[in-house]
Parts: sequence; structure tokens; C-alpha cells
Amino acid sequence: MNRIAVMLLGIFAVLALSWTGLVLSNQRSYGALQPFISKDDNKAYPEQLPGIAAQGKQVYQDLGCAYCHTQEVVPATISADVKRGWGERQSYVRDYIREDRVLLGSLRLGPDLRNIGSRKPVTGRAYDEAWHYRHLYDPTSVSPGSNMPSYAFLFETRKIVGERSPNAVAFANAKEGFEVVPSARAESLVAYLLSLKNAYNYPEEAGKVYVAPKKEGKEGADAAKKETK
Amino acid sequence: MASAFSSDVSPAKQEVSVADFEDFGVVDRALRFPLRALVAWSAVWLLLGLLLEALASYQSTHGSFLSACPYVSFGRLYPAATNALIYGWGFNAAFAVSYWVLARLAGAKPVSALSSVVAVLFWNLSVLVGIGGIIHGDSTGIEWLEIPGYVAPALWISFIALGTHLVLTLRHRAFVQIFIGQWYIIAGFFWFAWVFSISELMLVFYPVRGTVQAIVSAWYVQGLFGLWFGSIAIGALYYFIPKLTGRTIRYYTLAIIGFWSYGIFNGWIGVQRLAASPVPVWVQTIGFAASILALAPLAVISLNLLTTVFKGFSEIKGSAALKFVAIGAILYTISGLQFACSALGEKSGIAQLTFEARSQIELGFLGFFTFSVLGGIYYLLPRAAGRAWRSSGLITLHWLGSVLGLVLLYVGTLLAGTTQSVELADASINLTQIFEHISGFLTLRTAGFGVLFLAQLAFALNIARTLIVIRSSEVSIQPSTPALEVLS
Repeated sequence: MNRIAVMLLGIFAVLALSWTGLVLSNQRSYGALQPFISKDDNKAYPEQLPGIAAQGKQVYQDLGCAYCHTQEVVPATISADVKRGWGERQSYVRDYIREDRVLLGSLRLGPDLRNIGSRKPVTGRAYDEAWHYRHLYDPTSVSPGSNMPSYAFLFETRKIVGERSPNAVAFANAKEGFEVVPSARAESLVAYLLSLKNAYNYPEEAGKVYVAPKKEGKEGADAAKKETK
Repeated sequence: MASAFSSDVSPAKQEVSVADFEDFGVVDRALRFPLRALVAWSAVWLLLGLLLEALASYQSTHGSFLSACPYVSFGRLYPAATNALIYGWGFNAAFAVSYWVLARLAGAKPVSALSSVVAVLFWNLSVLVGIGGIIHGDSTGIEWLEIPGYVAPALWISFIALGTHLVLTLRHRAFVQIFIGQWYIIAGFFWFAWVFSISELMLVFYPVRGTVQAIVSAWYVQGLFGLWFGSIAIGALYYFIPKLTGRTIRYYTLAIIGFWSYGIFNGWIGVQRLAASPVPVWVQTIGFAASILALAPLAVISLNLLTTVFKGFSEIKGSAALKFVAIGAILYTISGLQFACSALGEKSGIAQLTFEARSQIELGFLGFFTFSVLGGIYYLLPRAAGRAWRSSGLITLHWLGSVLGLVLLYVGTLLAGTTQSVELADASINLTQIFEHISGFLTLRTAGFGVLFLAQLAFALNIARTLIVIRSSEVSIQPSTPALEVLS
């Protein structure tokens, strides 16, 4: 075959095939997936990120947190994620539909962060704001043996003038007369981390149907089967 | 012109003794500027990328290393490194080899050498700005596509400009037949142009809904590594292996089946990477199925390439180009098999979130692709420069270092990954313990990048000495070389 036109047409068709089959078809079926309004509290789930957390997501993205942390709870059938306390349930497709940038990540050098905002304390210490500040400033101070880099550049060390700053990081070994204060970037990053929680269990996903409330697909049945296992 | 080449192309004399039907002189002369520019740029990016990779890899075991400054913290250094390797080294090297193969097989010179040098310069400046953007914190956050959106149009335009040049050589070709090497390379250019523009639009400019982004991203990754780098490298192998061994491709009639099945399945297998991710289950199933079906093109292409390599194995002594090309062909088969194997098994999904998946990508990109095009560069640069490689000692050093570095890198990464896969599935082992267990392997990985860096230093030095000597002592047979100013 030496006809360029035929060849180029074939080359185009080959790619168009996978684009239509994988990308376009999913874009269409995801369109039917809507936020779910809970009858208990009348909120639409998944919830929209609060403004400061949306800013924090930018910080998360530009510092490359996703190179060591995933944001997806893998089904219990193939992982120990739920046992590790990374979430009460696996992540669903619907959990992500309101995100303008999905940061799933591809490597788990550190723990999964999909539900870090609602993580149960393991050693009696709650993963609250103060914990995150200390952890970001000096990871080994709260997590001995951790290989996470310090993000001290998100903080400012300054002399205490008058009263202490209310959100200064609590350190036992802070220098006398000085305090470590999180910058606006650190504050928004922690707000983002604390907003990460997929607490709500959608009846559709938890029950039978997978994609849309009115549709019943094969994938829905599969997902439901996995769920009940 | 031919006399300038016949005696000087060491160490492999046979590389020029293979009879060709083209008019070497005209084609070669027209290719000189763009080829020198591309090879020089690619070497610079290769060094930079490997250095950054080594630093970032060291950071992954020593968290405090360079963590005080945001610009060189791990989360920015690592994407800067991969982008320098992919868009810097990979693309320049792919352009260089494509230029050579297409022009030679068509027996036609590229349309305009000068404008392609401009496009090359434009491409490289765009990559530079893009990596600066990542360091500055403007990353898109999409793996392997981190270069900020404001650079993407410039990248796209320079890619299209270069690609158009290359494809136009076909219109002026002296031979009716289009060889299989040309098929792969031309298809690679079309595929990447489409995959890149669609992915940029659907991810960066008009982000699609929810985890469709993950599907597009996985599709892009496979487009980048399979349909672009893979196609270029396979195209190069189909050209260089017969050239260097002096033997025709065995079972050539099968090659066309290999080509179409390679194209078809590569579009679908990318979603294998989402085996553990929140996407519809049928997408994951397709990923598994396609990964197994992709064994068909793997078998055909391997049969073509490896049987030819082994038949012409006697030629390998003394030919640096053939050594690299042969390793490239073998690594194609190994990395393809690893990819298919990673689809198997009940708990394969979790391996996608470990270094195991990365070891497969790196074996494909830094092994298969890099070795194949390095072999190509060893063949074409003497012809573009009009003289032999300056130092055979540096060639040996480069060859040994590249193999050793790749082995260290691959073994370290793979062992770290398999350990992670096993231990992540056991909730009683916490992440700090897993890190302790794999930090030795990660150090091996760092060492691999270090050795690779040193090996490529020998390569870059050899290129510099080969190119720059010409300028001072052989001005009489060379036109003035504005390309060199561009490089330095």
C-alpha cells in the first residue's frame, strides 16, 4: 500500500476509534451523573470546595503533592485502603464530578489523602489544623521516620511582639521570643486538606445502580457486586 | 561528497558499505543544519533531565535534601526532570532520527532546512519556558503534561511546523514505495499532533468532567509513550537494523499487520493504568483486554526486528550504532511483555500506584526508545558532521555506562515497586515501614540515574568534540554553520 491518502485515513481512523470509545463515550455517560441531594441534611453531595480550600488546591497542585500522595480509595477487594483507615468506603466516580482538576496521583510513597479531612486519630492525636501545621513545618516531629520533605518555606518565623499570634505553630522547641506563623498559602493548603472527605455514601453506588439513577448498566451491576462483597 | 564519508565513518565501516540507491550528497547536505541542532539540543536536555532525575530521586530517600527552597523542592524538581527528558531529550532525538530516516528512505531532501532550524529553536525555547513554569509553580498537575497551558500553543505550533516539513518529504519522494519505517514515523507525527491537541483541550483548556480527566490523561500517556515515542523508535529500528546488519527484515510481509495492530491497540491499552482508580469498571476491563491483545503487534514486531538482529549479530562488533539499536530492539520486547504482565493478576491494580508502573515506563522510554535513537544518532551524526566520531574511548564509556545505569535504575525501581505492591496490601505494615524497606532500592535507583548521567556526559562531550573540530579545521568543505551558534 503506497497511497498516502489511504494511509493517512487509516492512521486517523485508528486514533479516532479509541478516542470515541474511551473518551467521548465516557464524557457522555458522565454527563448523566449529577450531585446527589441528601434528604437528611438537604445538601448536594459531593460538596463544592469552600473558596479558601480551592486556593489550597492550587498550592497542593503547584507543590506537586500528587507525586507522592494519591487521592483515591481503592476497593477493598483489591487493597487494604479501608483497613488502613484511608476511607470508610471506596471512592466513586461521582465523588469527583465537581472537581475542575482531578488529582488522583499515580504513586503511593505517602498515604492516600482522599479522606484526610475526616481521618480517625490513630495514636490518639487528631489530624486537626494544628497537627497539619506541625506536620508541614517538620514532618518528623509528628511522624517519626517520615521521608516527607519539610515545607518550612510556607511558614514565617517572627519575633513575638506583644501577644502571640493565635495560629502560631505549637512547638516545644521553638526559640525563645519567636513564633512560627503559617503563611496564607499554608493556611489555604491546610483548609484544602481538611476539606478532603468523602463521607457521604450515595444510595445508588452503595446499592445497585452505578452510572445514573435512571440507567442500569453492566458496570453498575459490577460496581454494586464489588460493594456488597 | 561520498568520498568524505567512505573513510571516516568509524568504528563501523560496514555502515556505509550497504548499497543505497539515493543520492547521498544532496540529501545529507540539506539535513546538516537541522540534524546538528537537534542532536546538540537533545544531548543538553538529556544531561539536564538526568541530573534533575538523580537529584529528585535522592530527595525521595532524603526528604530534607533541598527542601528549604520551593523552586527545587521534590514536587517541582521531579516534574521538571521528567519534562526535560520527554519534551527536551525525547522530542529532539525523535525529530533528528525521523528527519534522517524519512529523507533517506524518500530519497528527497526536506523542504527548507533553515525554517526547520527555526522551528527547532522555537520548540526548545518553549520547552525551556515550560520547565521554568513548572519550577515557578505553574504546573498543570497532570502527569507527563505538566508544562503550563500558556506554553502549549507554542509547543504545538513548532511541532506542527517540524512535522509538516517531514511529511512533505514524502510528496517529493524519488521512490514510489513507502517503507515500513516511514509508516511508523509518519503515523507517529500525526498521532502525537492529535493526541496532544485533544488532551490539552480536554484537560487544560476546557477540563472534562470528573475522572474522565483521568481517562484522557491515561490515553495521553499511552499516546505519548506508545504512539509517539514507540512509533518513532520502531520506525527507526525498521530502518537502522537492516542498514547496520546488511540484512533485509525477515518476515517483512507481516510488518504491515504489526503496524496496524500496533496503532489500534495502543489507543486502548493506556487505561490499564487506571485499574485501581474510580472510573467505570468496563473501562478497566477494556484496558486488561487490550493489554493482552497488544501482545499480537508485540509478537510481530519483535519477530521482524529480533530475528534480523540475531541473524546479523556478527556485525555487532565495532558498531556502536548497532549495539545500541540491538539493545533497543530487545528492550522493546521486554518492556512490552512487562506491560502485558502488569495487567494480569487479581491485585494488579495496586501495582499501578507503585514504582512498578514507573519501572515499566522508564524501561520503555529510557531503555527501548533512548537506546534505539542513540543508535540512530551514532549512525547519522558522522554523516551530518562530515567526519567520524572524535573519540572511540568515549563511545565505549557511553555504551558501558548506559547499560549499567539502566540496569541499576530498572532493578532498583522494579524491586521498590514489587515490595510496595506486596506491603501496601497488608494493613499491618505502615507507610513509614514500607519506606524503610524500599529506601535501599530507591538508592539503587538514584545510583542508576547518576551513572546514566555520567555516561551521557561522555556522549555529550563526544558530540561537542565531533561538531566543534569541524568548524575550526574543516571550514573548507563545510559551509559556515549558523546552527552552532544556536546550540551554544
